[in-house]
Amino acid sequence: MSVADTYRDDPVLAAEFALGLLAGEDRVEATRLYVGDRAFAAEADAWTERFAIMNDEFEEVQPRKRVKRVLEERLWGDATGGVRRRGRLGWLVSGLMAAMLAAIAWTEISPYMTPRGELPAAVAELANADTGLRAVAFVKPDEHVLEFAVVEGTAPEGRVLELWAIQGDSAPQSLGLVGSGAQRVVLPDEITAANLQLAISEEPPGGSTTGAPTGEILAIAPVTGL
Amino acid sequence: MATPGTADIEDLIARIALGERAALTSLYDKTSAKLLGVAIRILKDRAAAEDVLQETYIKIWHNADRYAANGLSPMTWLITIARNGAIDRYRKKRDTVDYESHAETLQSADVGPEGAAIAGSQARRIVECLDELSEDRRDAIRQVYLDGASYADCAKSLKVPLNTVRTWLRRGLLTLRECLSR
Repeated sequence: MSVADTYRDDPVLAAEFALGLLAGEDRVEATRLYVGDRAFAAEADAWTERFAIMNDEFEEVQPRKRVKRVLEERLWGDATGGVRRRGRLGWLVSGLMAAMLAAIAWTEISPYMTPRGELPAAVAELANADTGLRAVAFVKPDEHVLEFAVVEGTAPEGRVLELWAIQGDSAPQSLGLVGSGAQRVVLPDEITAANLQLAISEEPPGGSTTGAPTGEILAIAPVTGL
Repeated sequence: MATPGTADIEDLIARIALGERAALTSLYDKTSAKLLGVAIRILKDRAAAEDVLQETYIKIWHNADRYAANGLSPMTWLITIARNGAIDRYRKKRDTVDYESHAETLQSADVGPEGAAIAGSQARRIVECLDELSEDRRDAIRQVYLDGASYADCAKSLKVPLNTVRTWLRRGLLTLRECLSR
């Protein structure tokens, strides 16, 4: 008999769930209850708040400095919150602008020229005349990063832009919210430049909470090798 | 690190819900040492705990707008996300099931303000009720909470069969529940 069948007669299931005692299928089932059943959720929250009196016993441990930097990269692809040293951001922006110029030049003159210098290995131009959104992305497989900037257009009023990677037939995977200016996104390990599409959707503030795009796709384009 | 005020943290969560990066950075500065302490206690591995710490703030960033729906005080919410993340990481090594992310981010059914008030008013009462438990039960509950032990972990460390430990601990929780409702 599973948790879902018995919980209404089980006076301490919410406490077991809040404590983290349940494992395996029991934990999964209790989680479903927590999401779907208001009374169960309230009881579990009440237990969590009670057990929280033990939180004083967790001792503080300062994270190493780089943990915050990597977090910001994981979240936003760069650190435009004013925390990163200016010199590094300046380098990033100038590097991106150089790359953008190279890409624009590339589309104009590619039939006639072979690219030289430090061009990115792959590029995507996400443009949609209907939505007025245009963005450029460069993939650098060696560093496993994507440099990205919205060139024209903004999110609709009260919405934010979110960037997605679509590898082959896989479900879109969020690369984070789109900020203003140039962004550097560290790609998830499993993403490669081959057979990759990028998409930008409009989402509620804070971004999609479901792990998949919930708003309109404003622009989408494949990443192509240079 | 000074203990941040509840109103402070609540304000930051509200600003994060609007997508304000500086608010997340500020929340990190105020709370990361505590949350890392939680993850290290459970995982006993600094590198893994720091990774869980980052995931915790990523979850906070994406779920801050859902915070108001649950019945938890802000610091409890943050600590619970970190604690659940660490427990999941720890158990993933053995369990074969994928836990749904709802548990990690506490996207509960909407409990609303009444639920929150009840949770707050009853919290302090637990101290007296824990004191009424036998010492070994109280210690076991502390170990479960602070080290993230499951029934199976308790059975192993107490060297008793799983069902025995389950019955024994559930009885403790029932006693707690009765005491709390008095």
